[in-house]
Amino acid sequence: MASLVQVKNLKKYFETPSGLLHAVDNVSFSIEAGETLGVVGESGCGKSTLGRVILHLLESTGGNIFFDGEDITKADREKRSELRREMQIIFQDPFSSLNPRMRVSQTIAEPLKNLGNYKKEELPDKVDELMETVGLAKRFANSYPHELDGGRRQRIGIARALSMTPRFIVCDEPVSALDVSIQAQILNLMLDLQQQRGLTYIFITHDLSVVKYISNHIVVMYLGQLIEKSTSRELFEHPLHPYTKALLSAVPVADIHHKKKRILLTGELTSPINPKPGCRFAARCPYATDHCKKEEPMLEEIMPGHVVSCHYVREINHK
Amino acid sequence: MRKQDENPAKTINGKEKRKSQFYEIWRRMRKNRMAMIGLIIILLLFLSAVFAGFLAPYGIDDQNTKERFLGPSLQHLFGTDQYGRDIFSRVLYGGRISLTIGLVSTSISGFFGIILGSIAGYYGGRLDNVIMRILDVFMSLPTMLTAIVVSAVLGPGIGNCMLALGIATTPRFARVVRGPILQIRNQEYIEAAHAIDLSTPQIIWKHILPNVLAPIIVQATLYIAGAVIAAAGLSFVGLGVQPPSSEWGAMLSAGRAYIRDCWWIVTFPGIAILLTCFSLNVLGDGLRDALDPRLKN
Amino acid sequence: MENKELLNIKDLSIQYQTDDGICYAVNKINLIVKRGETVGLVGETGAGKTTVALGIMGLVPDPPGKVMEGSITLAGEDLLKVSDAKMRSIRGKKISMIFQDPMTALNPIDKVGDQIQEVLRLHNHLSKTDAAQKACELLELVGISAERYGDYPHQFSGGMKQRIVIAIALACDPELLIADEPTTALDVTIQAQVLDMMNELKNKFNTSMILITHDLGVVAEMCERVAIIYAGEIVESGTVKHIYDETAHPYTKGLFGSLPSVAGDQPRLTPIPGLMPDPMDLPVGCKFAPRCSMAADECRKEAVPLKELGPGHVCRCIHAE
Repeated sequence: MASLVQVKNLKKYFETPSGLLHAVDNVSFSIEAGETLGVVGESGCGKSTLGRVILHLLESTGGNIFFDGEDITKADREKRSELRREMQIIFQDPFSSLNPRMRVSQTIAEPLKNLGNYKKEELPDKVDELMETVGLAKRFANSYPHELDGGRRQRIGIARALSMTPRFIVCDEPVSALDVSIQAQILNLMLDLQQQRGLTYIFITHDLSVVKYISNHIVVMYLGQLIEKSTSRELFEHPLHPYTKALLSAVPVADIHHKKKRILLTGELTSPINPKPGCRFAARCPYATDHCKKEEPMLEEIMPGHVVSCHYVREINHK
Repeated sequence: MRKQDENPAKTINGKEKRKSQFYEIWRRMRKNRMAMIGLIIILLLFLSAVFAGFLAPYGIDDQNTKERFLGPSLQHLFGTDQYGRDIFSRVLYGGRISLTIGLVSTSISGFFGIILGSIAGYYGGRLDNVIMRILDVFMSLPTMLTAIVVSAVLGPGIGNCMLALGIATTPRFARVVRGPILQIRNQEYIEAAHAIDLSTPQIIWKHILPNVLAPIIVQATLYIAGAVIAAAGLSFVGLGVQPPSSEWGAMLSAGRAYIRDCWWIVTFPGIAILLTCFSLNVLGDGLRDALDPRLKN
Repeated sequence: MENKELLNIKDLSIQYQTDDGICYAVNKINLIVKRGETVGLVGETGAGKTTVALGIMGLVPDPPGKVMEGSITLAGEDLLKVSDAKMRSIRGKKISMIFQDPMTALNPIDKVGDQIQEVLRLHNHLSKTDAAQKACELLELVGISAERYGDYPHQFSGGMKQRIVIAIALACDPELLIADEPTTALDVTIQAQVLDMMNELKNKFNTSMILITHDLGVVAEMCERVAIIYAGEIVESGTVKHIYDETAHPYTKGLFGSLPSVAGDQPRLTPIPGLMPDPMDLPVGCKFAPRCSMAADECRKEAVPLKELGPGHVCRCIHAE
């Protein structure tokens, strides 16, 4: 099974007045066709930036991006146009991701007009088809975004992303802004679409329960770095990195009998600007030693398919 | 969440025929009494200027030495001036000039202002800096002063007057356009536009400008009012429109000497200026309320 | 016999008069909060939970909002009947509120220490020095070094800002704290810290709390009793055991069914179809009927009263038992 999307040592740095911001720092992974890679982390970990760099919405600072075996890192204008048909994005905020002055049908038709070779007469039918696919009633075709609720708006975003029949979709926190019951509807929709069309997703979120539900593999990010990667089930059953453990233990569970050993982290996130040498998590880690603060840990495959970067991963997890 | 369930009967091909946004805006405007009053007044002024030829009993320059300095009466609704000209007719014809100056100069400043403001706002960074600093230099001079200087350089006359005012107000217009663009360009729907491969001009034209239209329109109405006053100011000091043209400011200037005994010579043109500016301001406010916050819901 | 009941809301109804019609935001809500107890008020967007909170605080914007009926009794006094001046003295002193967004809750141009001090001087009439002293103590209490008294809000992260907000809310030792989604905007690990701290403080000061949230996980950790609100009505309420182990109302069941879980294997989610009804156009009869799989004709005919299923457990459904 060839991987559809692959990134190798991907970097994205921003220049700020205070220094170089390491938004994405040396991230590598690959995603098989038809699968979902979950990317979790808290604010400032770089997950949203990662998604945008893969789609060329932001220019990478270093590293390579591969799509279907081809290196697309330095794709030119023409290649990018081509890629936009194959790689799309669903945004987080259903309120700001739609042009408030355009009707639903216009928003959905826009990529068809711009990227597709559809004749004008063919558009209304295509739009209808897409609306039906995402579960949007036909009667909303002429509505404006502000007339609809968050769930419906997000469906518009999904319809727009699907219009060019892409193979790969970056989902940037697509359900975070939605109510719980709507969240479930949209998640199921995305799963169904994936099955029907063989879509490949990167699912970016901070919500651990959602990522577990939808992902095959998961990557955990902290301050721009990839600190753990494994299958979804494995990550939740055997989290190895101290941060992952703390993250999982922090999620409130909707069960009053759930006995939780909560690992509370001390302090706050350190800055991604001009990061100090050593492990970036050391400042908050309950297991950190001087060695951790001096030398950066490398990613190691501890178990088949399970990669972690931590100096003391074996000691910490030794039962 | 409530609007889409209104009028379920109006469906065509299963699609609801939604009212356009303009209808919604109009509906909101209608509720604002002051704005409607402003709208009516400015429409009346506009129409009276257009149809001045029919409405005016006399010509612009029909002098009549026998009828000098007559107060308001049935034959001369606004009285006559020092040359025996009918002030009512002159005010009506003057409306053409003042409103034309207002519209054209605002269009000039709008055109250049939108271009400069869009470039500065969209591209940001150094380009933004360069453009805005240059405009800042111009903005440090009071509008009137700039207009007077440009006018003095170009010479008198209505064309140069409009050009002068247009140039003088371009920097402020650019700033008005730039602000919302800076905010909008970070919205996700602009990113979405990139994701479907729209080019920069397409993005500015289709996504950015329509959403900036609201503040632009509001500013434009206020600027027209300002231009009318500024034009009056220019002719007051002898630049801009020249006699015997009956631009309202020129009338004020000419009638200054006679204020004490013949109050009507300056008062009626003055009221005309007042009404124009008042109605435009009130209309502008009403437009702003109707256009902006509600649409963001 | 000490009266353990602190807050008693009876038949509270709040409406908003808008140009497009009347919005029935809150419809005959009943809620009791005992001393030292944390009650969770759970609902989705538009259910009316924030309106209830504003109603208790006397902050419903009028116009267009209006309290139509009901009583809100705090330690024997009906808050809806007191004068504006009295209400102002109660707000901040007896009842405090924490809002959702810590980013905008603090005044950006005031030092954080001063913002805490302000409340103390206003309500407890402390002198400047005493208030400053107390403010330092409060900062330490919420886990922030007192040295940061003179810092400005922008110098703190989201989690720390929320702690400062909590410090301000607790400054005058209120009897009731209303927390409106206090940790929704925070990262999960920070949320854990803040919730932990809130629990500690709550136990220390025996403050009652109404915790407004949509997150059933947070409720499980923090609350003793829970009320589920839907379309302006309480549809189920009881102890956490009642709600989590003996879930009765179809909406509550639907909420649980919509939650993906970190623990255990997850079969396909079973979301509730449809949307919450428009508060300007509420259906006659059971408000949840249009989305309910168990809805029968009798459900749609007339409004459903609350049924008592057990001691302290009520449910607004004719099919529940």
